[in-house]
Amino acid sequence: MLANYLIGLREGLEAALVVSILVAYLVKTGHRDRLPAIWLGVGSAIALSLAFGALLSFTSQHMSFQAQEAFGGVMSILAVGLVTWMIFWMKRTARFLKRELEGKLADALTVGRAALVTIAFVSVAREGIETSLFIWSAAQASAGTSPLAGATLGLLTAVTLGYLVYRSAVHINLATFFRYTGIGLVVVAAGVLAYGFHDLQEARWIGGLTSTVFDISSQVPLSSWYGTLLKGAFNFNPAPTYVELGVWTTYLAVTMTLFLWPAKSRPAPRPRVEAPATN
Amino acid sequence: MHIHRLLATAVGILLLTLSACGGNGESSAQSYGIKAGDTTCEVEDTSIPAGEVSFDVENTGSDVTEVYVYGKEGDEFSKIMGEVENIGPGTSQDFIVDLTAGDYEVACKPGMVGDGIRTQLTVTSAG
Repeated sequence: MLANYLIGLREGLEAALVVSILVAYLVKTGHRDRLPAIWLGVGSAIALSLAFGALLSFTSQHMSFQAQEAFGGVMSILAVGLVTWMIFWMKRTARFLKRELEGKLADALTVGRAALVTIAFVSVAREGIETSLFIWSAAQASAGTSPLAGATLGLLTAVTLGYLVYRSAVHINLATFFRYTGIGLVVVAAGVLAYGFHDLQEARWIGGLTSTVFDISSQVPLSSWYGTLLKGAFNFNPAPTYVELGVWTTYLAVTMTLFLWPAKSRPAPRPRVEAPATN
Repeated sequence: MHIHRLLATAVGILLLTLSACGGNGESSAQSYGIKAGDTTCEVEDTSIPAGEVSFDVENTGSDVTEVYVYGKEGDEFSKIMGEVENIGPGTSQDFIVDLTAGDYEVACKPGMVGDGIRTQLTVTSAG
């Protein structure tokens, strides 16, 4: 029960975090009318994953190991691209924020519905097939209903944590919101990118799968609650390969620097030194 | 903003994977059971004929597990031929690998860490 619960939590956490930040962003910038686009992306990803998982579980259809890893890898890297784009789009919003009233945000920003559907879709579909295979196997388990109950509770906990992030996000001020969610998303995306490259290594698109930098899996076991949270939110791998660690470090350093770099002021000249936000 | 193109790419990849999977589906693979416990890794048959092989893994332990089939790469059994992850306690999952004659190792990894509990697997050329 507990182990199945932790798998569900781990698989669902990251998507829940990304989606909740996206929802908080829309609500805070007065784009509530765009929320259906998010639910469309999330809903279609869940439906497609469950259908595809059922196809693989209940028929003789199967997916080769390499295809599965390649799919996971490509989707992960695509997800990182989209989330990175979302981070800088949020940063641009924050820049508008400094000189305009919140009410004007609606005019300043046109967030495409297709973009929202895509980000929500990819964030959920990325781990979707693996999670749905796990859910279907839990549903078929001979050991009664406890594996399925554990898995479902784990996923529900992930959604609840996402909701709590949303709740606390809507209460903090916008500038703080952009800064912290941005930083958080950069760290999450770095983990997804490393995970994606690990998948491509397993699919043998890239070599070096067996050359790991270190292995602290006995100190931080993934089956522990803290290992689960680290893995679930940041794709923490206790035994990373050189490629993974390199990609992770590079992405984190470059993206974090660009994100924290003071925004350029284009149209009007602005004071050199800005007072720290007091609102 | 090439987001439409991105969306199309995402859907494209998904469809491609779906069709790729349809291609090698319809297996008449011989099926063998693996019982993966917390300290054990029991392979039903450790000498099997070459071809498409389906392993039906049951997690009999109390921790999450994953099972790999490794081929030889140099001196080590480190080339992943196939694997299945995230098998919760009390659940079963299967995976299919295409094995040619040779020596392999099956590894059950309780807790999904480390090198796992290894079992030798010999694949003989199908007669």
